[in-house]
Amino acid sequence: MKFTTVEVPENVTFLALEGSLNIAGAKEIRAELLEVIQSRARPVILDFSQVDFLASFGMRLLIEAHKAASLDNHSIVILNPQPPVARVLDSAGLSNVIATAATREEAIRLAR
Amino acid sequence: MPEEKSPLARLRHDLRTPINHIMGYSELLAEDLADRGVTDLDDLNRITAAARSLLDLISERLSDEAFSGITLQESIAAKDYTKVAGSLATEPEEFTEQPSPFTGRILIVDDQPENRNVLARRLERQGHQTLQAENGRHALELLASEPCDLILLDVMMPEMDGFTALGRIKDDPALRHIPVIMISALDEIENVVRCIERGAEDFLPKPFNPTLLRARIGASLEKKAFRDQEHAYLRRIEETQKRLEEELQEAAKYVVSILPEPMDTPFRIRWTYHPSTELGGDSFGYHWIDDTHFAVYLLDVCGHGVGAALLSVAAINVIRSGSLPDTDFLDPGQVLAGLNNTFQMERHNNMYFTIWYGVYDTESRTIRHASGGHPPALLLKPGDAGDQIEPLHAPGMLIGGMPDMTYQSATTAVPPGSRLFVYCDGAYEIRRPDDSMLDFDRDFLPYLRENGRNPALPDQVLAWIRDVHRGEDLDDDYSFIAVDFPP
Repeated sequence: MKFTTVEVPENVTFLALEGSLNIAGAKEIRAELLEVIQSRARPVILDFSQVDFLASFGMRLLIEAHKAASLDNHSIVILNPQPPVARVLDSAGLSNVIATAATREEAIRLAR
Repeated sequence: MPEEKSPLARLRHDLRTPINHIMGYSELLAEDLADRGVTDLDDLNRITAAARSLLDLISERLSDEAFSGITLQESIAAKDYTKVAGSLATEPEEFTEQPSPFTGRILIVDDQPENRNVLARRLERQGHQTLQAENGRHALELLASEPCDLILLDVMMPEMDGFTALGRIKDDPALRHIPVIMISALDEIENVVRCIERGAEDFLPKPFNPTLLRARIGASLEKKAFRDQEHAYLRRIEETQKRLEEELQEAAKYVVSILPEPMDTPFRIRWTYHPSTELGGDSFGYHWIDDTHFAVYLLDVCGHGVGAALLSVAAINVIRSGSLPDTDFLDPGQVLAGLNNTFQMERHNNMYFTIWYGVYDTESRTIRHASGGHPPALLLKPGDAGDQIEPLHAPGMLIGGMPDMTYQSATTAVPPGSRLFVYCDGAYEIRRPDDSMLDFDRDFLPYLRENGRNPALPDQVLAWIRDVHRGEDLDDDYSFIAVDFPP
């Protein structure tokens, strides 16, 4: 699991994740991801286009990320989750708490 | 043992023995006198010096070299050790014995009573306890009953020599940890090398130099003390591990013991539970809330192991005992909201769980259900065109993630002859050997539609996913409940 940070002009942080968000993947990126969210103090878009699997530890990391962002009155948005991941997000009730977007424009609009 | 002693070697040995005794006793006597404050030891020193020059004379005039051809290597080795012994002999002697920092029980094995006596007196003066044996056989007999920290073993002895005794000691699992120091004359060095190869720790040349004796015995005992300590730590670790494993097994037994018995009436219920480690994070149950309402629930704590099992047992006991404040257990949404506020992850070691909770009403033949992040239960319904599968969706947030969540209950009619499947994600999140995942809609649902009427379905699904995974060891816990409603 890895992610890259890209700045976009709309004053949001854009993170592209790649790999499986299972226990190993969540451990790999947890500290760095939370650090980026806390230090930037701005909305964060997580591009899930290249995430092929989301397991329970990955969901825990998303909840932690959501809570970290909420402390700064910001939000995180999940962009373009693939069908198996989208189903897990729905089934876990996470899509009621964390916004998901199909396109980049929609994600930027939701990221406030 | 070493090769048969040559007549020349025997002669040297016999000549040296009484001289070694004279030196040993002289040194002991000198120490006794020094202890009593006598400083004029000229006569004794003269005796010791004379004895030493006699020994030198024996070595020089009666050497194998002087008499016949001897291999170069042996001659160099013998010379080296003669040099070492010579330099030690000319060291100024300190005639005050300090108690050694590492003391122990030392077995002295020598056929000469005088040798044993001198050594024993010297060692006891250094604070050690001593045992004595007159040959290898006697030593082995003693070792069978007497604990011992160190063995001083003469090489040449009648009945059983030192080399043979050393071999027996090192082959005996109960004795091999005891360090052995060989005692030998310097021209027996070839034999000493063989003894060290066979497991002896060190050697002491005769005549005994008190400083060298003290140093080598101290070093051996110190090493043994550390080894013994290591063994003790290792044993303690092994004991602790054994106890932990036993306790884990106890815990695993408890986790299983709170699972319900299979049921036959008025519904037939079968289930299979298979934790991925000894302690799983899954738990489930079913019970009558009142005469007409029957609750079925299954929860899955994120992760497995002790922490996950503790949380799953705690949560399942709350549900079983109906102990949530101001909660109507007939209303699944209320139950999940109550659990969510009770088990917030910040207060539960950052662990959360998912749960499916349903209540079957025997009068209306409906099931009212809610889900906290859990995959939907499935209802297999008989239809005109064969069995249909209906997922019982009522998605809600997983339990413990965010406080004050609301959970919607949904109600589904249960036609006669239906079958309800409640399971965890470990039943379908299965990785194939080619790294692809089993798909819920494309693989799991069709499989259940096709095999859903198998009375032993919970076992059959487990066998199927193991086959897909190509191995016994699944990554996640597996739980699957099948409830048959009467026709």
